[in-house]
Amino acid sequence: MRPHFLIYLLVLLTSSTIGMVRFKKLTVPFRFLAVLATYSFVSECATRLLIKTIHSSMPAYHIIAIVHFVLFSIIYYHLIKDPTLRKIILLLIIPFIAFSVVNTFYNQSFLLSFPSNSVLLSEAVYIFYTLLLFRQMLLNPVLIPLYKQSVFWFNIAMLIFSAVTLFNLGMINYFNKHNIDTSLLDSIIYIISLSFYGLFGYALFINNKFDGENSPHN
Amino acid sequence: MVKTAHIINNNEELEMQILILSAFLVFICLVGFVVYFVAIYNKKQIQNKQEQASLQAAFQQELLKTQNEIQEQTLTHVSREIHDNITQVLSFVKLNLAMTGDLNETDKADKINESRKLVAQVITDLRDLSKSMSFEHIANLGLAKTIAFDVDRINKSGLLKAMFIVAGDALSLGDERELVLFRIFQEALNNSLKHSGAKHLKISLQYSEQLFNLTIADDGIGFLTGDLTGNGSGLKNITDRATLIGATATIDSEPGKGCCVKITIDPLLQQPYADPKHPDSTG
Repeated sequence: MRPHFLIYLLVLLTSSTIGMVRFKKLTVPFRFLAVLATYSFVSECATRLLIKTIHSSMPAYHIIAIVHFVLFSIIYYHLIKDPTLRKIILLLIIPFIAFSVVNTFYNQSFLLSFPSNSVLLSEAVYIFYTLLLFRQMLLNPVLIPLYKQSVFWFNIAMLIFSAVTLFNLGMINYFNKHNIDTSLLDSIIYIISLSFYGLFGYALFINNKFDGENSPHN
Repeated sequence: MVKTAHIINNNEELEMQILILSAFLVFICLVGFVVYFVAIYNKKQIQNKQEQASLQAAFQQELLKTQNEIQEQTLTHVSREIHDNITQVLSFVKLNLAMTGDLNETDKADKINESRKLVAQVITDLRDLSKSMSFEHIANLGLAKTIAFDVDRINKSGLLKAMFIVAGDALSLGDERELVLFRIFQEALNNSLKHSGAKHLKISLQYSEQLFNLTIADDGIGFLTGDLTGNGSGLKNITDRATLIGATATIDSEPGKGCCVKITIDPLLQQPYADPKHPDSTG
């Protein structure tokens, strides 16, 4: 196992441990985030096992894409207060799962291909959700400083990760097509992933359901 | 051939440059967005703080006004009670005792006994009066008991027949909010006593986890609700005060059909509430 990957697993383990230790103190959406972080850690460990057994980690990523979309949708369902948007968020889960399943069976092989179509679609949806949440935060500002708001860090992590992943996936096609070394893109996505789960860990660390009275977003 | 390869290389270089530029632009956009968001949010936070402060100041001012009005009404009531009840009874006692000098022992004992009973009644009345003179009795007794106390007083006065119903388990809505609700009740009661010519009054408190209702309904002459445009209207005060504590006031009336004032606190539709000490407060 490469040291890069070990550091990545360590960050994931730290975030999921914070989430699980503080689980009872977390608000409902952040409990789902704790579950997501733990699931991500277990899945990333499973990819190594898959590589050893079937020489491909792609099946895990096909499942991760769907599970992540469902969990992130539930998190945003709890964070966003507008009833119409909440309904839309829940309803979008069904077409996304259908799309991912069709994509897995007919387009990007379960065993051999990375589900980039599903990931691209989900990242675009996440960007939409993050913007909705930022809008809600601007419309209902609370007195707590921004850097102490778990929702802010979670949403920032989501926005940056989704935007960079979206761009990265687009670039990687071009790089592969022209036989250009993708190590720069790999490094970017590695750093962004570390920051992503690191910020999740921080958000899980500062989130507290007992502060909820003062924050309409929690 | 060499020229074609050179053009292809040039094109690839151009594409690469466009990609790097796009990546740079994406990065700048993201950083710019975050900085912009933080700046706007901080600005909104300051605005919100100022609005909260002015809302709280207005709330405190209104609370003070409410306390003064309750005090004024209480003093009027105390003055009336002392004049109409206590002074009369004590004068009667004085007269009774003055007469005892000319009576035989049996009649003297009867008169003294009667006077003692009257003095005991005066003591009870004075105790009730002293209870009604402080704001703390609203906090100590709670809204339901304070209203019950007032309803009892109205029934004793014989001005009209009042009925009081409490549905659900009475829970505290916060001292200051209960004070404002009590003042709203007094205001509605005054309107019924002074203007409606009602014979019956029905007051109800409805408590549930999701909803609180205070209803004051009379069978008086009623009025057209559209006529309530004057600023000095007691009913306008009721509406304004209800808004101040995050409640909504509904006033239903028609000529000849009495009047019904309903104050509703719905946590789901609750308006910003400025009391900084209460958990429902936006501050």
